[in-house]
Amino acid sequence: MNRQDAFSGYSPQVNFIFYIGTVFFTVLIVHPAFLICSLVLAAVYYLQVRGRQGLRTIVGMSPVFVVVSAINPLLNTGGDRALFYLGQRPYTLEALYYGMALGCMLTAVILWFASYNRTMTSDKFMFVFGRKSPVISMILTMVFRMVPGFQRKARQITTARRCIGRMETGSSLQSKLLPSFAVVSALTSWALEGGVITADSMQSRGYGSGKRSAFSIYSFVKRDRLTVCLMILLMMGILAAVLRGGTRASYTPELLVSGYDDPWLWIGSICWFVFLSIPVAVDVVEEMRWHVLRSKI
Amino acid sequence: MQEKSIKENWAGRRSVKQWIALGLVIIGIPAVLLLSWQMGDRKYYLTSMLVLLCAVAAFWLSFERRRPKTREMVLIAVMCAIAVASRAAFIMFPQFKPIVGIVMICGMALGPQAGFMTGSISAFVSNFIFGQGAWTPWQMFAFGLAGLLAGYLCRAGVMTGGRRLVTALIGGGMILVLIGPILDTCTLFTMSSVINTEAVGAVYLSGLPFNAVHGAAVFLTLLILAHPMIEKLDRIKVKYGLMEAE
Repeated sequence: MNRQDAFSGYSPQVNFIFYIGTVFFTVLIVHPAFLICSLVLAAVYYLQVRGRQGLRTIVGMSPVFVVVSAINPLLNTGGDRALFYLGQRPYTLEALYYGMALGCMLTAVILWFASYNRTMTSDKFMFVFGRKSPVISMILTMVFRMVPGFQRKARQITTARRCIGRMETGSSLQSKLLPSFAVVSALTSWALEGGVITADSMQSRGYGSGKRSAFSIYSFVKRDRLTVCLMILLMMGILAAVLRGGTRASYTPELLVSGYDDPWLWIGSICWFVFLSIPVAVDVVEEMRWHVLRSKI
Repeated sequence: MQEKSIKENWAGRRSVKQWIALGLVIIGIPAVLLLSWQMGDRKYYLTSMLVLLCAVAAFWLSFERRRPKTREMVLIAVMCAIAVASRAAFIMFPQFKPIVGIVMICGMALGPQAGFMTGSISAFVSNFIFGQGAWTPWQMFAFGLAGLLAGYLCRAGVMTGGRRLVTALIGGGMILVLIGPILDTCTLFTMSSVINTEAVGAVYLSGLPFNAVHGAAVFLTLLILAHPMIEKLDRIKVKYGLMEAE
């Protein structure tokens, strides 16, 4: 199930701005409505990216939520509605709510990162930051390329050493660990010599002698521009709501959560919902368009 | 002629990046702290993450503006890739993480700045394999710090390839008392609503066994690999004239 969702097909800048905004506001705002919104849409988008397999991950998150919620009142004793006492320490309802909010935040962030790992591949990241710092992005590109090669080489060295009987000769920890270190050491010798040749080759082909260009298969088209504008507008709406106190929520020592009689909460949460549903909506619209096009044939 | 204009071009860029790096540390970090102080309640995670990102970015920018030679760049890339790929050699021991050990070796052999670069880059790249998350900035900073400290301690003559046991003990101890707790602080800030003695104690104590295993792995890596790897890096430096002052 490696279906490419429509939002991943947008320009990497669009993807990156979306994730920055999402994680920033999820961590910033502890209002329950915002957190639940973030959690639900994170789960929906993750399911869209992963397909049915994603369900297992999402169900697997529930112990994290329960543990974080249940532990919080043990550490935080603020609040006066005690559910029960553990020795002298009260286990309060307010702290339990606070723990649930934190658990919600944590699982939402984990799920957003789970879909981030699928949509923001390393080449997209390089595209966003590559041209701003040529040296670092060159190093990163080289490392991304070398790691699989080195892993392959490490396996080759291991096999070769096993052939001549130099791997796993005994059952003790020492005799199992030492050969692995020898593999790393051999890998280092090989890699360093290769690195010098690479560097010389780069030099003789004129690396660093001019302004660097960067290859990319991504383009920034009208729909990307529109999406960025929409995201910026929505983020400004959320920020205004935050600054106006519409998203105020505190749990301990006293439960103070702004309710829906505050217009700023309405504005903030609508902006937040629209912002977070961008990837899901884009995907659904694309799917519908595809069905319509197919049915015409 | 062409070369001259390129040099001027680089020089112009150098000063801009230098100022950005300086600005991040002098203005960026206090600004973040001030802002979070204004915001009040429980912004520990956001604040700390922004401060750490400023710190890492300042290091990266100062490396960038130095215009390192091609060979130096490739050498750092190779060491990062070895640090990340080294786990492939220890497939039988999934809990065995030699990555910080190799970062420390790199710091000792190539200097504090190269150590920080290797540490932060290999943490970043290895997270592309094992998954990015809220911990990425913390790991980048902590691993970079390990390389940086190893570099300075080597300059001071405390951690050297020759004094194997002392080096390994310091490296393993550094994981246990500094690098591990820095990573635990990330857990503390994401999972706890208040910072009090109980929360701090609970998080650090539950992290202790993991840090002990991690520290032991780094101890063994330094004990066994530090001497041969530093020798190899030194040999490469002598053989090809790398990393020498102009």
